[in-house]
Amino acid sequence: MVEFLFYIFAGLMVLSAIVVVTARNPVHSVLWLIVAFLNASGVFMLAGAEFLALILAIVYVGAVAVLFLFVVMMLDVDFEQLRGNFKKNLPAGVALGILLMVELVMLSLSWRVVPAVTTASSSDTGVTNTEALGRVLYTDYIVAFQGAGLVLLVAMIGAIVLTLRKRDGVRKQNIGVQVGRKISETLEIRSVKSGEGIS
Amino acid sequence: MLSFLPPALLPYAPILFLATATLLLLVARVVVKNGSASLPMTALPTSLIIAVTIALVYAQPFVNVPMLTADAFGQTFTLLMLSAALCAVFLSVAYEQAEPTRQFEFYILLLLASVGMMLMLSATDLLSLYIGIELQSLSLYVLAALRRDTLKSTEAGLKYFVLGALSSGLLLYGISLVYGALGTTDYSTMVIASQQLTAPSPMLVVGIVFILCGIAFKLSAAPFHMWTPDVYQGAPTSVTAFFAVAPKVAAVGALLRLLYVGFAENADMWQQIMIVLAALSMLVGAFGALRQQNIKRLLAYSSIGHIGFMLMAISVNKDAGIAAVLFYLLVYAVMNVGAFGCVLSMRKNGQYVDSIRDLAGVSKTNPLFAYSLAIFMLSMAGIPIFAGFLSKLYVFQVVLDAKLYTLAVIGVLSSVVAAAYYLRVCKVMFFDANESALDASPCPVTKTIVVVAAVANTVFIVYPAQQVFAFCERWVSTLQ
Repeated sequence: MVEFLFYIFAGLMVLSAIVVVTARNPVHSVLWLIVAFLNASGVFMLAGAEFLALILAIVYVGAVAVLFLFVVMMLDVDFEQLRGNFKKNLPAGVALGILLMVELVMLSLSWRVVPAVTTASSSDTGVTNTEALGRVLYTDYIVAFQGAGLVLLVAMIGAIVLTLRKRDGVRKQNIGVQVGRKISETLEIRSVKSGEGIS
Repeated sequence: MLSFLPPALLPYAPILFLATATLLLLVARVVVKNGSASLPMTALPTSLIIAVTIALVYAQPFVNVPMLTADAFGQTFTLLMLSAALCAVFLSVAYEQAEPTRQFEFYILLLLASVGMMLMLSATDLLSLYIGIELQSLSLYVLAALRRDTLKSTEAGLKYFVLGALSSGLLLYGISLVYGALGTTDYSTMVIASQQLTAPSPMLVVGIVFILCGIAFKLSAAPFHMWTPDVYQGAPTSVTAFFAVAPKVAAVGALLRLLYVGFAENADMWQQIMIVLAALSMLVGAFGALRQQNIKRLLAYSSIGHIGFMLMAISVNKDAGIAAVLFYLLVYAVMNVGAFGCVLSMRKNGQYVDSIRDLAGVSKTNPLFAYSLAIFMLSMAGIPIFAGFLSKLYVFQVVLDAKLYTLAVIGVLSSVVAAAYYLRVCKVMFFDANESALDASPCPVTKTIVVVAAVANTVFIVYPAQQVFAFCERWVSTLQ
């Protein structure tokens, strides 16, 4: 049963990945990318990595793919023009793909890991992934965890520093003025005779 | 001194202090909105924070905690890195006053980058190493693009960011492959796991190659140097002065610990990579700078060449090699702090200039400046009696002892070529016709740093050379 499900998920993932590349409409590409992510999440779930599966669904589908969608829709990228070079670059791409394939095959034939690694597995300890991660995240890996927090802070500071600018002549909302308006300043009641309108 | 801290936090004291103080400074500056007098308000606390951190590092007890270590080796490196950062803060004050960019963020990002570099220097785990590198480089990307209104600074930031992101990807991929092969990211456990490997593992080799490519990017070693000249030139000069020393110290320290502790059992895998990186960096550093007209670009290529020399000593894979790297790094730090002090006092009619042509004939109008810069140039070229000569000599001696003759020949040839462009700067200063004088440097701090560095470079061979030499050998023995 698990094997059957695996082939369904994996097959759908490969198919949707192919559609991502071949779809004419970039919005469709992103939507198919989401399908690929969800299938990958299913494969993780079958492997017993339920935390990774859910994170993949939340982060990649929920945030990254939506961000892609925004970029595709907001930025004026001419995808037809990008695709124009497809034929010209095809030989190089195919050559690179074959090279990578050969490398992968060579690697997988001579794959060796330390014996201790292959026997280690988290599924036999009786705790869920999330619990196991929680146990080490705030103890053994506290340094990396807090450091990652600082990295995010730097990203935030950087984004603000590089984009915040004071410009003149911009119509900004002044909430104080807006709230302080009175009816007498903004509304005027007139009696309009029918068929004449307001001059 | 630190008895009020709970014992579990004691090993983290310096890094915790630096991070917390930086965050407090950030909050304080947001609360206190005093736009006009902001420079003293940020430069002063920044230098104070770094000074206190230096004191804390000095008083730190030596312990190992998960993912980090506080040992004498890392301590000395951290002190060197923080001193370089402090010098960069001092050098930046006059520049930031004359050309106010975003002073406040400059100092905050500099402090956060220092936190990252401290993490790098004390990391005993690939994960904490990665977090440190990422914290440092993310701050540096923003610093490079700080003068957003100018095209060059924006280009520098973007180029640095795109290439840096690629290198972080390589590094992370390498780490994951090493984890796959060895089942651990902890340096000491990695050594044990490597001993248990019965047959050569290609996955481990690929992982090490990727990790070293990622670190070579941060070190600006050829062929991963493409960003360096553009970033050095495009970034505000105060930022470049910081780039030139502290991050290089941190990257070399992290690389030494990674290779000699983490991959101690895999020396045959990384030695060849180091040799290739060293030879290419020396050649690129020598030939790339020949046609440069901009002093910042010239110093960028010079730093690539210097990194090549350090990598050459690292590739020896002996304790003597590390000692030579440390010696070279100390001299490199002093030379570059001084040289950038000079670049930061190049002003004409109140404008900062960075073209070599602007230096024409300054030996007559600004003799102190000309003689100091000449000393740094000659020292970088490795002309005898200056400190740079001794450090190069030491490296060559170690490399010849290890019988890496080809590498040594490449090193000698490239330093001959490199001498040409260092001497050209001297020629322009002393023999070309005077066009217009440089402004008298108004900043006593910059002047003091330049003069002290120049004197240190000149008298080095007489007085502290022996002591520094002995110190480096002691320093090596603390690496475990």
